[in-house]
Amino acid sequence: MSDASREGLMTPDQAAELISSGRALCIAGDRELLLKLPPGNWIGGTTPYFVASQGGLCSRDYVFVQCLHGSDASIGNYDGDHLPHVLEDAPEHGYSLIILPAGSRVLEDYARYAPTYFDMFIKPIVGWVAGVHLDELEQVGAAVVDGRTGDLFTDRAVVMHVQLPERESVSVHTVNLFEAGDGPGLEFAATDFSTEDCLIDGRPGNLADTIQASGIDSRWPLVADYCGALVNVSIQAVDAQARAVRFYAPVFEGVCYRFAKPVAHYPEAFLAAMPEDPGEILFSCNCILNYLYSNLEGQRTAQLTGPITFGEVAYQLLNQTAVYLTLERD
Amino acid sequence: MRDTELCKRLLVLQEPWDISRVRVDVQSQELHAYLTTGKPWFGRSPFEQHKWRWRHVNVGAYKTYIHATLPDEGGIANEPLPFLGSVGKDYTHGLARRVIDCLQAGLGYRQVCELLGIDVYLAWQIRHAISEGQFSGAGDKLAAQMSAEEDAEQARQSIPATGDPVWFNLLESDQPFHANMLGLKLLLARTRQEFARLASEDAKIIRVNAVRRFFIRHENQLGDEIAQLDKFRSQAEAVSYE
Repeated sequence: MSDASREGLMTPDQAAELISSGRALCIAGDRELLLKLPPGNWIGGTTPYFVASQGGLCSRDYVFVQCLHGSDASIGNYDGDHLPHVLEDAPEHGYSLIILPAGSRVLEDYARYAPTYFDMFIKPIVGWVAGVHLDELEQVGAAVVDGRTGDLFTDRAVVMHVQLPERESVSVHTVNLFEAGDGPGLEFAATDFSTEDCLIDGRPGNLADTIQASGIDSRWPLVADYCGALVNVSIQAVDAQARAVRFYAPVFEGVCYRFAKPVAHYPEAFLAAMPEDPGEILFSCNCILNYLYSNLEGQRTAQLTGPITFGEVAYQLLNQTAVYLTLERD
Repeated sequence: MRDTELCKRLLVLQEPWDISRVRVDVQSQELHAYLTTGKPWFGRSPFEQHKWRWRHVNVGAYKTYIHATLPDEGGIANEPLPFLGSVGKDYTHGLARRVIDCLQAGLGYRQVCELLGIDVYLAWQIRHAISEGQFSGAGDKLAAQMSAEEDAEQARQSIPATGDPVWFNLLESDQPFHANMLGLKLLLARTRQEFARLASEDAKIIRVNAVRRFFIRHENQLGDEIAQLDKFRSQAEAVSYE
């Protein structure tokens, strides 16, 4: 385990010691552990899944702590009404780290409308979606914590706005092992987390029927090309009876999606997609679906360590993607 | 008292400026004041007179817009009168001064927007002008405080101005543009998608400004992309001459 002066996996006592140092921290862990931590300059979110330097694991005894590099930091918590202003509060020179609770209205708002927020894509924002143990999906809600007070929220986002010294900046990166397949182009009439009918190669059709008839593996996401950035939308469920498909993130009106090319050996492919020399990583997180489908428990993922999450933020909400932030020096 | 006379007093107009017309839109809570000097602009036909529109300090709860034609050089002195703005700007000198006063009093950027009822795009333009030293009375401290975009001066040399057609060509086109930074890829994809649907020129300029701001902020990391802009312009010109 990490020593209390370093980031990574650690006991709540070690995390408390780090909090007392006054450093800006992002802490992931089980709800009970987060509630025991002292107030300080930190934000947190619930998840018992991590990839530490020792490998992937599920633990209710340890928390994962990330020290946020910067010259100054401030914390905000935002309800749905104030979330559109999140980047107005961000420093002109720095970055923001956001944590949103899974299944919340505020997450749905962010997923739908973040691309329209003022300063979106101009000021860097990364983050993750807090979740719960997969055995407790129906019993316990995901939550985030404002470390200044220790308040726990299930319907607010917490954000750490970090100022950087002059001559330093950050870059946002993703690791996505999927690419668009050769199948039909899919277009949706409205931005939504679920769909029934859509345009399939320009002709009206039912997406659930198409998935079933084509034998498409619903572990593979839909992929859209945003000027070279491949953005996944993962399939949560295909309801054959209702002829409806539900997604983990919204599909956007006006964007053309395709089914991802199948990946033959997911675990190997995912580990191979990890950056060899990513630079100085300030923050990273990875998707629970990658954790599950790549069997990451016990596996190492190079320098990409951090919480295993129920959605990732690299500006907008992403699925089945690892996100990392690197420090650039002039 | 006539509404134009009342409005003239509310806006504290100075001679020779007067108000020819006032339009109040109750639904959108907007007040539009059309200014005149009462003199013809010698040597220019009415069709050659460019009418400017500037956002001014609110009158009560009403967003206030000033419409006027600026005199030529040698005509009425182009002083920075509070109720007028500069060519190419979207705000009056009076509104800019009010924003500066608020910032100097220690208010945050968002608080200024809320207090004055202006949107963040407009506030950003004013702040950008402050950091470029366009307001001599703003003071060094404030200029320094607002200098997060400090390399704007240098950036202007290599990054085309807002009105440059290259931005419109870039955003109206579906030609490939190779971007290295994730933020630019996402911004460009989204802006191109929106651009086609926009009917208003003002809305398009706001989108152009957003993309241009990205280039200014990240100029040091965007050498390839800036070079592509030039190439893009050349290609656009080549196409237009065919």
